[in-house]
Amino acid sequence: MADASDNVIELKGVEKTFRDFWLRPTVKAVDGLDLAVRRGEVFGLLGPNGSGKSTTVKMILGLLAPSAGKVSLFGLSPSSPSARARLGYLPELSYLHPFLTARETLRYYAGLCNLDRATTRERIRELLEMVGLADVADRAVGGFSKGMARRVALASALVGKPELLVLDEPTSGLDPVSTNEVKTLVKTLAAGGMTVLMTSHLLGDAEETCDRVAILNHGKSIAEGRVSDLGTSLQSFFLAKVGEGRRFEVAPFLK
Amino acid sequence: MRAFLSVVSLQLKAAARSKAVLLLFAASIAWMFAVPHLVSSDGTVDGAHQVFVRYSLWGVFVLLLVGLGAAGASSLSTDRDARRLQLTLVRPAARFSVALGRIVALVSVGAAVLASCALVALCRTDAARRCWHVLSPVMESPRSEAERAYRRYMESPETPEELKKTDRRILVRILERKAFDRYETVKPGTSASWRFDASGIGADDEIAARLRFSSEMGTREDFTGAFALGGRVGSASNVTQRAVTVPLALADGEGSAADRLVFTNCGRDSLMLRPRRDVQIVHSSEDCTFARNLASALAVMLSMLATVVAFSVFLGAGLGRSPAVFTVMVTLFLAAASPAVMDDYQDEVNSRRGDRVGLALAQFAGVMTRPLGSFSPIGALADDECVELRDVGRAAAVDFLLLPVLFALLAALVMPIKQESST
Repeated sequence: MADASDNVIELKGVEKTFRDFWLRPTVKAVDGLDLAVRRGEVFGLLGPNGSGKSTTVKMILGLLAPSAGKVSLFGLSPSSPSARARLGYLPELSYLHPFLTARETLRYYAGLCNLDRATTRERIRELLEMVGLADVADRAVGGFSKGMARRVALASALVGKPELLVLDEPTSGLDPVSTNEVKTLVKTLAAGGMTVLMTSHLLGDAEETCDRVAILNHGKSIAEGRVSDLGTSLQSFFLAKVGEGRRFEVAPFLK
Repeated sequence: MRAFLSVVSLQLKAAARSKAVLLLFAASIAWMFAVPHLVSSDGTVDGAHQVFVRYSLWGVFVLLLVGLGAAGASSLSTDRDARRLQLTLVRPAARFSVALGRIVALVSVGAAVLASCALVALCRTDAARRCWHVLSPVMESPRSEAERAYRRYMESPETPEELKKTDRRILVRILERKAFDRYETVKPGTSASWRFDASGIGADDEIAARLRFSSEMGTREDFTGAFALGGRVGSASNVTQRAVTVPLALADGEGSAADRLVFTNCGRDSLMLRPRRDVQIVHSSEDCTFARNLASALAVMLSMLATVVAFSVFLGAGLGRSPAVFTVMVTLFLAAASPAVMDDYQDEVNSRRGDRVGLALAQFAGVMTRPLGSFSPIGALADDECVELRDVGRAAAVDFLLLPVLFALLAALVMPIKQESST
């Protein structure tokens, strides 16, 4: 049994209801979610579109406040600067400042992490080499391909040497080679002791990378555990739990 | 501190690499060179100087207010709309630093543009040109004079009952404006005197008495008269200018009290003067130069710019880009228009309900934008009047420090609320 103090992320009875301008509830995106991510593990948050994955991640990051329940990060509130100092985040799309070069982008985020000048210089050099962008470090990222921009965003997430890395669809839109690189990187970081929380649609990637997964549907966790304990492939398990009765009715269209 | 500097650096890079800011820079410098060719003066050296200073700096200031106001409103809102802001907000940097960094960077851009334009102004004018400290008579405040007049009206049986029922605040405000504009008539052969606080006048200062004749009807008087202040005297005759400046020189014999300016009307016509507006003593020492005055005026202008930028960054933190830019522009318009509206529509007692609502809105806008509308450093600079240190200090303390910090705090408070609603 893992000790609660080993939990890097803890969600207890978390709910999130979105409201309109008149504060009338519109959507309950997360409904009574309990979740714990332990130190050093790669945890996958899986689920179909609209299942509440992104909302959950945003509450963990402190970008959204839960309507009910409690979210804690390293035992602290997600809005606490001490918690945020130990966190790296890669969003679904890269969202870079197009006028900055790759080096300037990393320097900006290093500054936000309060790194001193010497550490910043060293960290940027290491990261640019790690993501294979050292040769184009002084080019504006606005001219980068999607894959290159993704690498810059990943390096930005790692610039503060975080203890927890949150990856939102990290392989989204990447070619197979880049996807493989990202998966290898995640495994390497995890082997080095970093905790990783990732969301994904790609069950194969999750199966290959994650130690444990939780499957969300309609804002609730419908399954949680080790991938190896599922007794079947993640794909089959997922389709059985989530895809039940969900298929396009094509026959009337073809008539 | 590093986080703050990173945000400043980011915003400066955004500005330096943006065509809009380069255009603002180029347009400002071009306007400085274009003004003498576009606006004609009365042909005198003083007139050319006045026209150049007033219109060149006024144009640049308007460009900066509009340009940096829009840039400030777009700064956080564009990043949020493009979902870049969330990557900053998940870092350990304080949200206050994020807002303040944006403000400081944009104000630095404004400072660079103003400094460049000031260099152009110094090259095209006489930097050593003398400027004057202006003193107004020490009199009872218009407010207290209005309060006395109000009590008198209320006690008088001749005052119509309808007027007595009018809101006290409205009547006092009207009476206050009338007190400020109250005329004194100086008949031919008689004297009038006004007390001044002359403690700031140095022994070696040049001193002059100044009368202004710009009345509401736009008329000007044929002026002949003599002044005395302490042991100094001066006189002028048959002058028909809107402002008459009479140098006061040391003279033998008895003068007036050291703090009392005595004016004797030696002409044939009565003179009507509004002491609070029209009668002044001006004095100048060696160090009151145009260059120094320009530096003071720029400090005040930069402070006003800082308030506008901070306000617009705050709006950008809480609103989308378009509503934020629109609100900034409307606020700037109201700040510019409200003093004129209040001057033109003073007689609110007899006005219709719609006029009263409009006037109340203008008054509200006037009060809320007082830091922008209360003092015009460009007008003083063009008129060779010293922008006093107390005005620079007030602008630096309130407009440059207090209000921007306050707006940055407010922006930090609303940033997560807006972020949540747009996530």
